[in-house]
Amino acid sequence: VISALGRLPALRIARSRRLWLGFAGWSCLTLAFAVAARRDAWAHGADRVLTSVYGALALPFVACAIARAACAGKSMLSATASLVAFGAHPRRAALVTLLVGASVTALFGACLAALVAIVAHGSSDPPAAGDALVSAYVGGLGGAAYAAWFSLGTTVGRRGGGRLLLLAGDWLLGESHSSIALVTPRSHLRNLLGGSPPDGISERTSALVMLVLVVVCTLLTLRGSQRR
Amino acid sequence: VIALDKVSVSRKPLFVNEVSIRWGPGIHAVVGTHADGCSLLLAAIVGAARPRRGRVRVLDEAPTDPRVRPQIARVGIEPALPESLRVDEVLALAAALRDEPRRSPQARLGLLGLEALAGRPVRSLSRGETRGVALAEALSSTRVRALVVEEPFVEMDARAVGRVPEAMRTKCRDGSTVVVTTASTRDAFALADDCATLRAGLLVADTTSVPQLLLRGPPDIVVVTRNEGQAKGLIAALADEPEIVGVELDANTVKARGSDRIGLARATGRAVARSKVDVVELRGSVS
Repeated sequence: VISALGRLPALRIARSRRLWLGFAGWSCLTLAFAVAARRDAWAHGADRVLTSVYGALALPFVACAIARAACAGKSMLSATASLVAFGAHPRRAALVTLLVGASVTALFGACLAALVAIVAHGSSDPPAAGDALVSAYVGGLGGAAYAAWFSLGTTVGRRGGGRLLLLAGDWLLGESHSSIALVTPRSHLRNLLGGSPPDGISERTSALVMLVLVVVCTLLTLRGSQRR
Repeated sequence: VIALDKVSVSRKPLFVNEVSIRWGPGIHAVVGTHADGCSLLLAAIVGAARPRRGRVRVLDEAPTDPRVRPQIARVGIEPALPESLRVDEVLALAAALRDEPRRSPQARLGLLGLEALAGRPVRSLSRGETRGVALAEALSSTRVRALVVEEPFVEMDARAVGRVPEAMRTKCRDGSTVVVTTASTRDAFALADDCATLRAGLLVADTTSVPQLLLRGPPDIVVVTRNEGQAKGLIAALADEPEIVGVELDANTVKARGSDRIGLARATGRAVARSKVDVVELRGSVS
């Protein structure tokens, strides 16, 4: 049953041309910056590209697009209605939809981060292989956090327009270095990728807070996907 | 198989109030419109709307019970089929979720003459075709034992319409229960073994034949007043009467409905006296 539930969001993602264009566009832009960093021999090339183009733009926008595609541009409630009509439990259907989106986002985040770490590697960056591995882990974690964040957004509004609200909220609140930024994935991703930490917290704490964000957003999404 | 015990459910602006009814294997009709709460009643039966009061039981369990869910199907006016899939993929997905063996999509759709739709993407289907596919899925499922259908002949694919009654009867021969809601008394009796009438959220009749249904409708009184202003005054006075369950205004004519004849007549008389309208004509009827 779980694999049957996962088939629908997976096919929605696989068949969304708009999403594939987004994948291609953001990947090309990020890699173009990485190539420029290598060509101009930036000392901290990998760190700079990862914290700017990758962490601040590519990953959030792609995660938002994946959450949209997994729900076929609808709210979580509407997106899972067909599965529920065939006998699936609403919360299970929402959980599997979220997990499929999170897996794809984490995979995208990990692969692109590793690629950027290798291509944009600068003289002052840590050894390339190790940096690529760490970047992949951070990209995967960030991708999962963003997927849960935007899945929560799909429970708001008739067409899941809450995604855009959370995208804006992530931008506005996550840019700050104060404690209010702690609730956004953006600030923690920046900290883990070598940028400035929110409220002066350590990288390990940021990783833990991201995991908590994943769990909290998932629980709230399941709550929001219950029929009333 | 389906039992409703004093079920009250609301979803603004619709409501269903204290409906009690039991349906066993066979085809059963509920006559009423969307505004009368028919679709809300079906939503309560399949567990998509939570009753405020009362209890819904399908196959002796709550409709939200994980063992019962796959055995219930609902075909609404706008069925939710996954638009990213092809029709054959939808049938395979439904079979997997209902935990039944996968069968040829042509054979399943052929039940309603829709086999030509098997390879079509769901997003390319018209509403009638979508409803046809959803109904074919439910009728051809070996797991579904309780099926609720909204307006089975409205917005239905032309190829399927003629095959719907026989396909439903075949389904019921296996011990399944089919509940249809329709605004048409003729459609109800063309399909169903018995018929309940839902009006303004209340179950007002539960019969097995058309004449009985017509006789058991709520009584009404028509009051023709001198002008429209007086008619509106009478409506306001009727609103204070607890015996009145519904009113209609048409220019200077007011039609009042009540649950019983004597109470209706007394309430109308009091309202006429209180509002001091000039009654041109007063007649009672049974609709």
